Amino acid sequence: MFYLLSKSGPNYEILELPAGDAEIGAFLALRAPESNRTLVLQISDISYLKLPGEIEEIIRVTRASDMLVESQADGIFERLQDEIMDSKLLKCKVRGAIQDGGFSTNTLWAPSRMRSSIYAISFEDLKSSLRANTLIPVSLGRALGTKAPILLDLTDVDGALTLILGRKGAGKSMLAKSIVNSLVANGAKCLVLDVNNEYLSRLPSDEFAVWEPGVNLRFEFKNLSKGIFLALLEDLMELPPSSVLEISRTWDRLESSGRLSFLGLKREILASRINDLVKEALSRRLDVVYNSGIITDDPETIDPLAQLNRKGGFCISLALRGRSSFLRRLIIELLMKNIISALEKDEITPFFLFAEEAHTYQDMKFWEDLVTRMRHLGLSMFFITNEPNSLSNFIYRQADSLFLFNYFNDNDLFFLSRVSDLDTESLLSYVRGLPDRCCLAVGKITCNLPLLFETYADVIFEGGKTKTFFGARAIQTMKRASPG
Amino acid sequence: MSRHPQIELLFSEYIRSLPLMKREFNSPGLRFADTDMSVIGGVEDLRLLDPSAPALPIAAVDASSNMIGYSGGYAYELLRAGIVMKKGNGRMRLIKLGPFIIKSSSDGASFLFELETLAQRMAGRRIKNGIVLFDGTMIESTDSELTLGSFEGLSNSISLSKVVPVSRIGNSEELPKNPFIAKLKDEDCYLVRLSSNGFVLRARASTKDIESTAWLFSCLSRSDSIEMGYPRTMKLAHMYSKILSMDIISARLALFEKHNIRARDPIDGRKLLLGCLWG
Repeated sequence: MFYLLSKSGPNYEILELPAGDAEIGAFLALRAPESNRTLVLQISDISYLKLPGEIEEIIRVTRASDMLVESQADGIFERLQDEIMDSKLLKCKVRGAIQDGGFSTNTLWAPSRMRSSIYAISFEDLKSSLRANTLIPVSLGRALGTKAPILLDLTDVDGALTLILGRKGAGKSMLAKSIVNSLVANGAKCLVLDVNNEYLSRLPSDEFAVWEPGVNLRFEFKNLSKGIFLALLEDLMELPPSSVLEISRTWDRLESSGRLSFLGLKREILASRINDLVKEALSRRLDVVYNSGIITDDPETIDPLAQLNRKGGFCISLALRGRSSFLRRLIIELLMKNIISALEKDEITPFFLFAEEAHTYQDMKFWEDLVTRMRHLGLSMFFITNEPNSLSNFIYRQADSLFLFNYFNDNDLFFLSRVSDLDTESLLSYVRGLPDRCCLAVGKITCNLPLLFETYADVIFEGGKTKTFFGARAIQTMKRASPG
Repeated sequence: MSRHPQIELLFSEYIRSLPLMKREFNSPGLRFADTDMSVIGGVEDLRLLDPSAPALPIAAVDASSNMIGYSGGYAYELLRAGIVMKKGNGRMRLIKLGPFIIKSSSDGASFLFELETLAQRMAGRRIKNGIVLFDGTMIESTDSELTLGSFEGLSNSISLSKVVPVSRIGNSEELPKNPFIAKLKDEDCYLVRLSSNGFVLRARASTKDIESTAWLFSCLSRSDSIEMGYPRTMKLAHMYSKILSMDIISARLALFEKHNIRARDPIDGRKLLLGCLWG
């Protein structure tokens, strides 16, 4: 049974007597019969009711455990005393109200303390008031307390920016993979910038492909636009403007004579009558690009953009593991510039981009620019990272939905409390105590109600394997070797 | 008998030192009880306790009561008692009696005496050739004549007062620091210190002469852990017989759940007439 004890601003204190199994993050409905309105409360913390004499009673119980005890008392009395001692004080935050069947943020009223009825309510029950219907329902996990499947609407991540944050090993990649699977199953196209090569399908499948830069991900030089190539040299390789101009002239000359090729460009630069130092700097940069293998003169090269235009749902993961930081930047810069150009010209259809640890291969300005334009381009973006402060405030402000896994570190938690829309008290309470593979979802995806759920284990991808020195085999060998 | 004479003593000294009060206190008609009761001279036969006395089984008994409330013209009282027993070095045994809810038609009626007597008899039956301890404070405060006698199991009884008899000690510097017992002149009670530097307590015993009483207290000091001069078993008996606020809440709930009776606090005329600030 729940009883309303007190209210202070958006905070409500509810007494649960006898104590039940209410958990942090669960929802309670507080129905005020006189106005036919219902407040939606969410438990943000649980404590015990402060009772006069509770310390004395605890000492009595503790001391009695050292003694042989005979009790001559009415059983009902002891039961009631246990119930009172165990009664819980549920500290709740008001999240909104239900009135006339619809959800409202108007909570500027106080329900009757004596006549209100309070009962537990699930997210699924609330959803009927939150939205008319769920267009593409997908289950990404189970509610923490009730274990009931949580159905979210996949259209909420379409054209949206979603952040998945959590400390290493907390399960954020697992959730990202579940979302990828759901998207692919519903005919969506996904591109994953995979820094750890962990989005590899367990079984051969047409729906899940891997791009290995220089192997099956190459751009034919003559298909590249001059602007993209020059921007690559200027932005990424810090080529001075005078040298960029020299390359531009050479490019134009070769193109007009129908001799445009990467090797042709390099030969032309080497043969030109320019300063030797400039010539050497240009040559060295062109060598770096060529050796990356991502640009080729091979006419047999399959255009990556054409692959992105395939019909049906699929996921391509760009395997970046083992590449130097510079090469990663080069590959991403080239790929993304081409993709953006193609999206602008409507040459490819909208798709979902998953960027794992995005700050390691592009600076924030690049991502901020992309986020600003993503809706117009037709990009839906996911940032997945274990370093919350690697993303800029701008990214947080633009985020539509946030999935937060466990963090222990106070600096990370306080940073998140500053940038997220959720109140600090709730965020700290929810995120600090989350077990692995459980997350807090908030934003558009949950109709702005903070929701705690346990994610499902992914079965499609191989997953990020941790290579250890003390692997199972090594431990077995050591056990055999150790005497006794 | 005041409940906290030692506190009152300190407080009265403070009041007396105030400039305006000095004249009043020095007036011939006013005397403070604590200043003229030096009874060291009133002690007869002071003996040190024998450290070689044997350890005996001990049972400590205490009971308490509290009003739950009123309903339908009846008063509802809550009672509980605790018996703590110690035999040698074995585990202590605790017998919890109650809480019991007593319904009575009279305001002043209390069943505390009956429960305490019952608990004492039960303790006396449970131990053989030992010592039954009980709280002497109540005897002093109510002037009840609880039976201080030998029990069926041939155990002797001792009543100890939790109230430190500061006013009866006078110059405590003159008392031995080591465990002792001293009979008060013209009274059937003793001053006793059960551990070195422990508090001096007022006590009574079922034994007839100072010889056997000294031996009984010597056995007590050897049989139980003495904390600040007070036996541990007795302290535990107080703990387990005390009625806490939570006991009252549980009792009210139990009354309602089992008998559909809503016990209410009595009407406080003072509060009604003077208001919440001055009532």
